[in-house]
Amino acid sequence: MIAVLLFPLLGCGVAAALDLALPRTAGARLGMFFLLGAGAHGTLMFIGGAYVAVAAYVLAILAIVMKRLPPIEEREPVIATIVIVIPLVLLLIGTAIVPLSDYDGRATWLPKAQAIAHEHSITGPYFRGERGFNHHNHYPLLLPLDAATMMNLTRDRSDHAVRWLYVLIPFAFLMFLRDRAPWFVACAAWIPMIVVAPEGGAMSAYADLAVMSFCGAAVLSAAEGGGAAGLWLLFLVLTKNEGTLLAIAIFIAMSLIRPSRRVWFSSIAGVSIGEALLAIWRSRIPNAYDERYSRLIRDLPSHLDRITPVARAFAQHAVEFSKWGGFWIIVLVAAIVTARRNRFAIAVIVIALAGYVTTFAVMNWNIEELVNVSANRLLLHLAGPAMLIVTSPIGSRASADAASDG
Amino acid sequence: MRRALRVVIVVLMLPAFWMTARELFPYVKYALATAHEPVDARREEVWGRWYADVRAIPPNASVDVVMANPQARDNAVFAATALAPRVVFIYDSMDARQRLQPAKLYVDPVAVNEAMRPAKPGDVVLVVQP
Repeated sequence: MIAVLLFPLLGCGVAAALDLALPRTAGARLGMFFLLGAGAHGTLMFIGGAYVAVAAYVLAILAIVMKRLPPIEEREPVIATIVIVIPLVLLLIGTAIVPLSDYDGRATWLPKAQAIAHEHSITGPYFRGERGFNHHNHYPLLLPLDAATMMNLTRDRSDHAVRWLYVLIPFAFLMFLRDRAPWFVACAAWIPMIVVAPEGGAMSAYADLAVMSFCGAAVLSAAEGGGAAGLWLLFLVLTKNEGTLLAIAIFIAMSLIRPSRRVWFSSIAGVSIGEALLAIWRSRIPNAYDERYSRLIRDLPSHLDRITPVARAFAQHAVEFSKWGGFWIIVLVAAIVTARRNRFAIAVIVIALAGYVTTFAVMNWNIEELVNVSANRLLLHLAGPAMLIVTSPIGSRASADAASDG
Repeated sequence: MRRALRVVIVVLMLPAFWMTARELFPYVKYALATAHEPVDARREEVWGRWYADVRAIPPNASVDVVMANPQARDNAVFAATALAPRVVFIYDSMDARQRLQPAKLYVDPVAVNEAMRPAKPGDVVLVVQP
């Protein structure tokens, strides 16, 4: 229980210390604090380990005590919240009992968390290859660091100690977004790809829903001119390799909306710090089954003919009703109708999709096989910005104004 | 206009509700039905029989996981991760184990495919079936 409260506590302290703009309802604030705390905790652990994280918690408590948060201004949208909470509660019950059964969660992400919990280091014997099997050694560690903390606090290094984390992160993001269009976010909380997809959904222990959440929060913050954009981008880069591509897409799209210097500065600082941290850490550990992106770029000219079939395969997955309902169709229509108002979020999605399609085209795998395994998970990354596009024309007038590019 | 738009959106999202409910409710029902079982029994049921073999291995032993055949790859990977924090290397045959040549589990032409090499054989051999 203490573990569950840690992230909102840290997130609240970070928001208070940095004077971040807060949502108007308690539920949305709680969602924001949890997400902010989960990102900040993993980042602090990455930078300096447990001592730095403990110091940050002390400072967070001081910030909460010394700075008064603005009062709650609006009542909770009760029905929408109930609709959001139903799948959340069912997932928490299910994942607390049924063992984890996905591939990457068991083979990639949780072993990293277990190793960190055991060795108290991100350059220890496991990451140096001395404990044997280890793959994707250079993958970013934000979520494994969060999970390792929970494992050590609960003295349980099994999957059961951390399953709730993978459930609460996407639901925290949905709560954060909820007030913009409560009934639509309530619908989104039932998207199969988010809730029940065995590979990538909240039932699994993949990092894709965290990418969706941090990417959506970064786009929202940059669109609103908030200073938190840099923080969300930092978390995004430290969560998964695709975070770098998404951060580049956000930078390019930002040139369309000409945000304030504060947003530019914080965003450039966030991404630069994240990439520098990863580069330093990676220089200290060997590769093991890690992608070589420089080779992908070199091979691009000889694979251009694969771009069309890959793009078609992505489109086919996006309209798969069994995974998404009509979500991407709604997003497409909303994007056309509100193209001018939402040009930033639309540009982020288009640029990131172009990046993903190109990457898939360059890989030497069978296109159908590769797309079947990962297209839906990559679309998940873009679901956060996509929700912003839909919530702006159909939400309340206030939220629509906040969502627009200014 | 806004109300009509909302109705259209809810109708388009109905399949999402249906598909999620169809997966989620049986999942929770299964969870509640197995909640009284010990956690290791639940793991054996979901993960497979190899988990019983993993549980029998001493906590400090280093382990060589050997695939009975190429189809046992996934189970070998899961067994290796379930054996953490022991030192575990995965081999695709007993012959490869003799040569201390770990299996190349994923061969991607645009990736580094190196598996770390052990200095010596493990204390225990675990042969994993598909």
